[in-house]
Amino acid sequence: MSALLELKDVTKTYGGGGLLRKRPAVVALDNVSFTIEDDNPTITAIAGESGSGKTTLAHLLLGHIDQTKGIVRYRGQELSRMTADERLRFRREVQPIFQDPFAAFNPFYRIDHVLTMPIKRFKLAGSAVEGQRLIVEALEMVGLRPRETLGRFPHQLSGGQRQRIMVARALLCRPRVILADEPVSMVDASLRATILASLQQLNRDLGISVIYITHDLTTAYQISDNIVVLYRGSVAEAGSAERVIHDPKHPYTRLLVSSIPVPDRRRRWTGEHLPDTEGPAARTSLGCKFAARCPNAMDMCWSNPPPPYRPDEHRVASCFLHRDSPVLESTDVSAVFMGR
Amino acid sequence: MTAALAEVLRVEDFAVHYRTPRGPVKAVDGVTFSLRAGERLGLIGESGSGKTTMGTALMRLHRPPAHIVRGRVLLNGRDLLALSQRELDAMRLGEIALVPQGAMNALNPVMRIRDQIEDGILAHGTPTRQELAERVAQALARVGLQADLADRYPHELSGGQKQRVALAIATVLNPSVIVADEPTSALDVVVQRQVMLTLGQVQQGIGAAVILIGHDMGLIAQFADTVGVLYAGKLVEYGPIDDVLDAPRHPYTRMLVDSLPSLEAKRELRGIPGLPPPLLNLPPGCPFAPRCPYAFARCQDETPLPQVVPPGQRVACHLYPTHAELPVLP
Repeated sequence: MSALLELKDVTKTYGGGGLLRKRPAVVALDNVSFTIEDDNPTITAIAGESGSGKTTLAHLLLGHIDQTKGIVRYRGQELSRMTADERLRFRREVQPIFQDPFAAFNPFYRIDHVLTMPIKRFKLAGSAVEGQRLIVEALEMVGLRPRETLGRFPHQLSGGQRQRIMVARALLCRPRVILADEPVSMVDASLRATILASLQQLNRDLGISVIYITHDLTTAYQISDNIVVLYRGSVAEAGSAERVIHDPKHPYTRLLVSSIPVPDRRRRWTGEHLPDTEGPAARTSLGCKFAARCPNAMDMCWSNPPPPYRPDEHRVASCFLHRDSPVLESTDVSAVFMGR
Repeated sequence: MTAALAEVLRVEDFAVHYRTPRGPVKAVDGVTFSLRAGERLGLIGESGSGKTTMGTALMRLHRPPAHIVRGRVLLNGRDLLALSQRELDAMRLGEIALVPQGAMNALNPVMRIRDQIEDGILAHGTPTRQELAERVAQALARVGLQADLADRYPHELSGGQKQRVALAIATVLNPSVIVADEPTSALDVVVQRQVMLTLGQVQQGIGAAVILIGHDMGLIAQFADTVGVLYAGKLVEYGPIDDVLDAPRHPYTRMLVDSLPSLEAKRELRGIPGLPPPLLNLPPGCPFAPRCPYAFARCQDETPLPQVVPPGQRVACHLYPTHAELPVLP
């Protein structure tokens, strides 16, 4: 096994400066480690609510921002120490797809522009004809008809079509990893399935690893092999998608899963009292960040952060409820991931 | 249970168009439904289906170039579309209230919560200072917020709290109909559940009917008794939520329900091929026909009218009454 994209004990804090009066730093990501393997292309979901650090994680993995502590590596090389050639390769092989299919386009250019740019930049084609053929192939791969898309302006296409063009653009670069940050949250339900299915297809047919960052556990469950649940910058739970969703071990994951509005009348919400998961907690904890909201909180939860326990082979849960289970040897949660 | 209760809202052949230089955009096109006291109706539709236009135009809160072309909106027997501005002002908030989309951003950032709740009360009466304070406290208590929150500004509240304040403002005068337009669209899933449960409690407490507008079938299934499915400005299916989910009769509803990702088992993801039609110069025929696997010749040139299809829906589709139910996909 060799690591393709690797995050090792990474912490990212914002702020904490202030010339006259030091403001407390915000810890957006707190000591997170995981690895995307080269020889086992899977779909990994990073799930979390607002403030969980999932977008910070995306920007770190893309090299948009620098970590405060820890290491981010691609093919063994630290992102911050790459040579120009290595960086160019990284930029081609790790392709982002962002949330907003409206903001990603320049309204003055025809959509062809976003497709020809990477071909020029990464010298993907030997001739204009070959470049055109690559574009047509990529569009067809994501279910778009080239004749109905090329030559148009962004405003002439729907959000779903634009997002599929972004998938096609990523595909053109023959990437090893696609990092999709909430790719369907602004797309209508009937088109969502189509876009997610095309990500799945790229993973299966072309062996591209996908990191799917989302707040939506339902789609995460549907397309991912493994899920990492973040709470306030820390990994609450991680493991195979099947187990995390169907048998959550962390009280936070349980709360999340039970709060999903499922279109099933036999599984309706009950009116139980829910902890307030927003805003500052009534009592701050030096231990588990979820303690103030946790229905199972014990005395020990307040003093020390829970280590990553491993209640079963394909799962990590950072929660003292599982203190009888062994602790994960390394901090890298992908040790428990299920391969394909 | 609801059968014995009085009808509070009846919308008949309601149509709202947008004037454009290239012709009318028929955002809402001949919608008919009614609501009984305490009933929860979910209106579901994708972007551009006309759901928000309908929600605002019901209270005549739509802005030009939108204009109401025809129809009646009978609220407790009075046609909102025929009222003078003064009469309408008295009905709004008093009898029909809106929780707008992104309501957390609809609060005035430089006014205390108390003043924003009082605003509505004072526009409809002249209570004493003490009455006013009591009603603000009551409105906040109803949505599960502490009374001392009244003296804060919106930026001091969390998203869920702001959304509940919007709910408190909308329900302070005990309206008989609450129109909630995607009231939880920007909220996290746990907070969303809290806000929806709160909306349900307040609604039951004051006996109001609710129109919940949204695009999330899961949320509608959790909340509503009745569901209306909007497609290209038309109500294509309408009926009890259990019937519509278990036995959808319109092909669009069927495909929409099938496209929902499940939490129970992994399965092939299926979207609906094609796109909703542009609403400008919509050709005759069924608006869903170009995407419909069942479409036949009649669907191309004749717009289907709503008809009753068992178990309990009203469906606008030419498959009926020839078929008793939706045939197996061709």
